[in-house]
Amino acid sequence: MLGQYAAYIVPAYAVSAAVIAGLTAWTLLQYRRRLREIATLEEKGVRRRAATRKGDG
Amino acid sequence: MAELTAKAGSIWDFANPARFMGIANAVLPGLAAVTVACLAIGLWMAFNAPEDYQQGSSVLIMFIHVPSAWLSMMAYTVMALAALGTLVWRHPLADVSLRAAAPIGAAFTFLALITGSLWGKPMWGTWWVWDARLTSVLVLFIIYLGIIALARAIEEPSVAARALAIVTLVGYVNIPIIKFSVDWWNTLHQPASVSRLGRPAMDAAFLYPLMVMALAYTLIFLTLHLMNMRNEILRRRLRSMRMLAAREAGGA
Amino acid sequence: MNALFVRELRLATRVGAGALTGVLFFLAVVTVVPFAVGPDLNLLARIGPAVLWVGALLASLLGLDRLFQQDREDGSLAILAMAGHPLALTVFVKCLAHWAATGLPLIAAAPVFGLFLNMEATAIAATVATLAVGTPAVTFIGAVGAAVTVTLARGGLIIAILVLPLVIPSLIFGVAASYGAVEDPAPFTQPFLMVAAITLFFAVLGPLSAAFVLRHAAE
Repeated sequence: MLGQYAAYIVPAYAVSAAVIAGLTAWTLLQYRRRLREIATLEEKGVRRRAATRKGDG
Repeated sequence: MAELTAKAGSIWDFANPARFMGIANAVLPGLAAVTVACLAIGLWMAFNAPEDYQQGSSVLIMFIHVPSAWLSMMAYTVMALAALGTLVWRHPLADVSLRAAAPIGAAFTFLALITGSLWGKPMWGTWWVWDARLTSVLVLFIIYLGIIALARAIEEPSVAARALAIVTLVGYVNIPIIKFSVDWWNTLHQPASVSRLGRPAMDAAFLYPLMVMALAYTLIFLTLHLMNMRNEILRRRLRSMRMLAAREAGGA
Repeated sequence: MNALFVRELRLATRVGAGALTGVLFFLAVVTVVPFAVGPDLNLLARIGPAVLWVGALLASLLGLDRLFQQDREDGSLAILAMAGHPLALTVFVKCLAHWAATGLPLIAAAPVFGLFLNMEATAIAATVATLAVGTPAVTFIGAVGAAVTVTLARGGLIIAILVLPLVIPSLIFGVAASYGAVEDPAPFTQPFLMVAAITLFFAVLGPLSAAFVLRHAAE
């Protein structure tokens, strides 16, 4: 199906998939890490500056 | 006194981002599902498209190359609009949006360059030509990297917001000038080895998969952008919490 | 404004001998090229305008980070921002003074370096003319880069990354005009006017944007 150009098509799709998947994974990891860090800070008793507005979110 | 006003300001700041977080959390799962579905349909259509009589199966690269190139420009347009939002309306989310879009735009520009290179090798016989389009995209890539470097360098958020907005807009105004000069430069030194593939009206067999793939890539951008904006808001919340903790520790 | 120009010029020529450093760097770039491409005089003459342009471009990036940094440190930026004149005009005058202190020496040195590269008299004259018209654009765009990095201790490298892509048009048309003066079919006037137009465009856009950023940085 890929024919004579497989050597170029496969890397093109592989790189695209890797970059997009990598970007997604990196974004998700950071999201988790930041949520965790915020939680630990809150446990230590650091008040969120808008704690009174929590209902907004 | 100063501290009091600063606190009042930050609560006002926070109101919008907090609502945004709620909306983003609600929208993201559905958006991600639609994105994956659209990408799957697009890929299925792309791999079932007929071979081009001139380019053979290498036309498959077009289905990911052209959307990447479109997205590289769309992401920058989003950033320029966000820059306007920062400068004109001083909306706190505008700066978040600009910062969140930059790495995604850079990634798509990178993909446009790589896939273009992989398409160029079988078609033109070389990995890279100093063709007007490729060169413009390369310059755009450098502009993206400069903006990202600047965003990482400036600590103070309000200073960074304005600096990034101005640099983004100055870059945006320049893109047509760069494009024009590179076009001119390219006609001056037209490399002889490059055979330009005349592409008359694109056949529907290629157009429809391309459109679906472009839609899928746009949805990927939107999803990642929302996710990244959410991260950026959390980063700021974390930063202000750390500063508060440090201040309390110092005060006690 | 005249007083400001004189003050800036005096500061720029006194502090750290920025002009001399720029010319030395320019000399270093031009000297390195023959070692890299070989001492073929015909080849050097052919790439001469390009080498001079690249050298001058890199050299004029060098001192940009100091455009506003000192003013911010000693507080005169805040005074300039509050003075009666529009800040953009002040920035414009500062850019002119900076260019006169760092750009003009480069242009004065360019003919000598042109001789090193075995360039013809016409090519040297054309390159000097395009440099004279084109390098102010680097300073005007550089003002934006200098303004956004004014709060950073080491902004020099970031300025270079931000400014280089934006000066590509000046480089393209500048080198093209220099070649146009010697090679017959290529035009000189058209690219030369483009260089001038780009410089004028940035003479407006650069100071306005830089002033916008600086007003908030000075607060």
